[in-house]
Amino acid sequence: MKKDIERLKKEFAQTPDLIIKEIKINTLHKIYVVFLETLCSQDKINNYILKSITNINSLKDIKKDIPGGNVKVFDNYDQCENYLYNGFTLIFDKTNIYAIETKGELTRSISTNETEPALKGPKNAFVENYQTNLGMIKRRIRSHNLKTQNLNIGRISSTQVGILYLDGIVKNKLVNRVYNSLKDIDIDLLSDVDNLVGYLSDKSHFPTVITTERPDRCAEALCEGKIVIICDESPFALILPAFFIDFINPFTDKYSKGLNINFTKLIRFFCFFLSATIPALYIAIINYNQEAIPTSLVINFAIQREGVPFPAVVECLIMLVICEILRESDLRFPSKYGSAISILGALVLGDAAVSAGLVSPIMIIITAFTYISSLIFTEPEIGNALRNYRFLFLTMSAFMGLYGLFVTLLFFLVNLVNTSSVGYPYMFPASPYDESYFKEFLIKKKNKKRSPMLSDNLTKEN
Amino acid sequence: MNKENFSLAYFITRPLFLGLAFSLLFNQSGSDAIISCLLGTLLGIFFIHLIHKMKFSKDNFKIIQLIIYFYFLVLAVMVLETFIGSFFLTTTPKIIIIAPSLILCFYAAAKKMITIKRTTFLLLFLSIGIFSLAAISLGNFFTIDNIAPLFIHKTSSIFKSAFIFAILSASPHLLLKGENINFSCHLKGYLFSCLIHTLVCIVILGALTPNVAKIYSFPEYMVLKRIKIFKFIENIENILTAIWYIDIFVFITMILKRIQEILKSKVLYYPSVILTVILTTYLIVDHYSRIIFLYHYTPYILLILFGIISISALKKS
Amino acid sequence: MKKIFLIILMFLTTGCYDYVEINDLSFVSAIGIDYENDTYKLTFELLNDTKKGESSSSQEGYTISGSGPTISKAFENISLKIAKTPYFYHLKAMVISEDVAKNHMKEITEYIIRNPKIRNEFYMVLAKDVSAKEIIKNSDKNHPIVGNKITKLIDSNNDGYSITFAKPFEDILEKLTNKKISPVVSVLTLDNEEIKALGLGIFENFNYKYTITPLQSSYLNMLLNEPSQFLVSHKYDGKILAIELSDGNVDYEFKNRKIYINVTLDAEIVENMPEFDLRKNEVYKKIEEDFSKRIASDLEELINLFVQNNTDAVGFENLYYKKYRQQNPNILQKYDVEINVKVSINKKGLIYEVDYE
Repeated sequence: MKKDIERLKKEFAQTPDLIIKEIKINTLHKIYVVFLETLCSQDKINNYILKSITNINSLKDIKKDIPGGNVKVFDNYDQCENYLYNGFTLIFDKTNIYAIETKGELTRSISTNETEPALKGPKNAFVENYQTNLGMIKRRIRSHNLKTQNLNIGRISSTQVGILYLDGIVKNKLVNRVYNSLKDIDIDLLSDVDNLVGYLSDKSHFPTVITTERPDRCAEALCEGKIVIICDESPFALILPAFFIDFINPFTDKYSKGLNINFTKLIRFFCFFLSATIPALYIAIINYNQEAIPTSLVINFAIQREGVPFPAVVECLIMLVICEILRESDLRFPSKYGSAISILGALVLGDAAVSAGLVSPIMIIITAFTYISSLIFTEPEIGNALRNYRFLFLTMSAFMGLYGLFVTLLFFLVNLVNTSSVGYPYMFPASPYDESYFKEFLIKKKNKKRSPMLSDNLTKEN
Repeated sequence: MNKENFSLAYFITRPLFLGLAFSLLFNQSGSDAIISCLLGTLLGIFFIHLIHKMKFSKDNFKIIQLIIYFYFLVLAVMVLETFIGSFFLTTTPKIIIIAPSLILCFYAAAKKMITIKRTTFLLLFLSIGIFSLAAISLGNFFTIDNIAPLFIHKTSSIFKSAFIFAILSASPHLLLKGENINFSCHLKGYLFSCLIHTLVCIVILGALTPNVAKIYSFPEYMVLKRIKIFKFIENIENILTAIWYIDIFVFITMILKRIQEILKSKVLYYPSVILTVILTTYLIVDHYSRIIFLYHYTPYILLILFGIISISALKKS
Repeated sequence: MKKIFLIILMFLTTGCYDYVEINDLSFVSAIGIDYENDTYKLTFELLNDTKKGESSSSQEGYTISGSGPTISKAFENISLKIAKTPYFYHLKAMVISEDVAKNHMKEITEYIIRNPKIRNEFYMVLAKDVSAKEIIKNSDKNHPIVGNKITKLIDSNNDGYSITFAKPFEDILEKLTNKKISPVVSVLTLDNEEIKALGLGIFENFNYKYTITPLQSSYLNMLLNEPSQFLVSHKYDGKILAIELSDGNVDYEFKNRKIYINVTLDAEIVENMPEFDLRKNEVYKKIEEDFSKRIASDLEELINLFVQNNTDAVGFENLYYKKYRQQNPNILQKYDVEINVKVSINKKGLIYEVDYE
């Protein structure tokens, strides 16, 4: 025992919040109580341990008499650091070491979600505590089939990561594949669950893993046969496998009436392709194939472009770059200054540029339309992927007109179809055609079965 | 798997129709082109049956296969350059027109076969959608009087054009030999594509009379110039030609994939394809007399090649 | 990474060959062709695309002329005067003078259909008693662009009284290649500095022959089974009864070396100056009989006009070929024509009668 305490003191040399308290039980024996002050709650230590220690008379009573739900006994030194950092209080006696849980509350309380707002549906979101997050999911799935596989990732941070799945619904090879790709990670620090995305997805522009803040979305995904990964100190959860259609249609469509929401789903799909191709289509038609414009409009365009010194392509590039700069600055600014910045942005892009003769009015409409359609998607990775393709479309269309646009569209399609998310094809309900997933997420109809690609247990509703 | 095989079979019958088949058909048999389409479909079923029975063993047929694939590549490059060079980009040199398509097809041919099949399944809806839009908006100009009377040309010319239709639609199916496609799936794709072609023929003959359709070299493009929707959308033929560009893309991708399987090393594969394309551009496409030669004699050359490969393949089995 | 660099390098060295700024194009909206002293005289109407003050919605046009010994040389000479590249895809109307239509139709057709830059969807119009240049120059404050004015004039007259023929040049091309039916164009003229539609002009196989009156043009539209609507009036003791006819349905039969034309029409009473009693049954039957005879005699006169000039504008030869698959040239000369007309009044306006005494 003395050796262990000396070793503790040496290893935790410059740590003033390590408290080692020596208590005499009876005249012969002493025990040491060790805890980290910053991670434990003083109330629990006082109530559970220090008060009841005065009642202990001999060493044999320690385990029986100390109240506290979670008591572990071990006798080698190696696990001490792990337990100390998890908020446990260690009691050293001659042969054994006892660890009692006295965790302090260091996280914020459950609040509303900010990244996926909706009018209907539950509004609570995950917080930075692993136990709370797991609890929020378990309140929705009350079955013993919800299994958790635990991993500790990170040499220094030793972050707890949990892989959740519903036994009996999910396919086992998916679970094994995810576990095998995560268990070999050897990094210093795992700060957020987004760092794991790189190990789980292939090289592609498009996002293949969903990050979400809503526990109801995780519960629905578990019932479909997908896997949820949660991580300590991270308010997001990952859902695998993720398909293209999950990023286009938000999850909150489930809380709206089926027949009415189909129209909005079609509009979103349309907006995705429009947001990538509208500037390129405008350049191709204005500069290469002017016959596609009706006669009265073409004169209007020519009159508008008369006063602008740049060619149409350069004008387009300038407007798109200015909009990207505006978007970045909008994200960084604290919201107290927010309203003045958006007014400035509107003025810059709007009237002032037109009356100074820098851009033509039609270009402002095109740029505004592009950005408004790209703001429909909640996942920021989709916006970033679209931005790359938007510039590629614009370049090819500026060199070769409508023919260049066709070539790039086919390239875009081949790339989309080639992506795979943990081994499943990305364009899943459309390309290997699957009726039940199609009805669930693409066009909403009454659906009673699970999809056979994700699960073997097909019955959802009778 | 069936849906993707079906769409691949559909797209692989279409590419040689753009500049070649329709104008040859209308020149030979005018308003009876519809009957030769139907007869040609029946003859084409026989060709597809032959293709299914052939067994390519590994070593013996490489040279003949390579000749056929390179000839397809020459035809595809010729059609693409002539079409885009006359309507879309008139002053651009032809070698620059073919370059982005070639890079795209090299990229797509490097992917797995299942990716190409899934892409064709998604493109099937685009193709049928554009065709329906064009056919419905041309219904305004369509009169059945323009097509009647039938059966006025000589039977020999009707049979000749049926043969042209069959050989130009069935011979690209040699590219599908390496997949294990069910015969009924293959046949369904072929029949559906021939149905669409017959409808296109009917629409072209009805909207432009048979006499006018004979004088153009791309009648399927000229008929799209007549589309007028709601009195302000006109001249959209350049957007609707995506329907043929997709066919040529699938065709060249399949050709490159097959050539890559035979010539396994990269040192042989890339330079041979690029050299063929460059030679085609400078030796054939720049001289109109040689284009006319290929235009008239392509069905016979394809028949000879098809005959050689079928005789040698069937003899072995 | 190297691949992307190579691709970008390749595209940057190509340059853009077909890149045209929209300000560098001049849009041609109407073309006029005359022929004098062995030269073709062309007039283009170009759309004005410079900013005039703050309003960018008013459109104006201006004209430019040029000439040359052949039609392609004339097009080349006129583009020497235009500051920007001429762009023909928005062409609305082409006006040709009588001289050109009588003698030079072949050269014009050949040039137009071989040129890939001209679409065949414009209206071809004949200018009678004036030159094409005067019609093209006739723009005023209410209709600043002559191409639009001609197009709208032809469309609205076709919908209203069927005096003009609202089909584009493609239709003329179909009839010229068919050789069994004579092409038909609309004819315009200037009346007190205003453009007016005169009727239809009939061709005989690439040569213009004559013009028919507005009422005969309406009859021709009806015989061609186009949707038509026209006005016929008849005098009863100096007072005029006018009816408006529509929904004409014409059937042709070829039997016993005779052509039978059966026409059925619906009618609406427009003017009732003889003050017939419109509440009685027999009055309607009398009116129908009288008008049927009147229309039948008018149609006979029209077909005699066609027979005399050997122009088969209705296309009897074409119809015979479609039905019986045999060539029968000059069918109008060989066969007799018998016309049956049946008029049925199905509307009479809002009132029965007013006592005017």
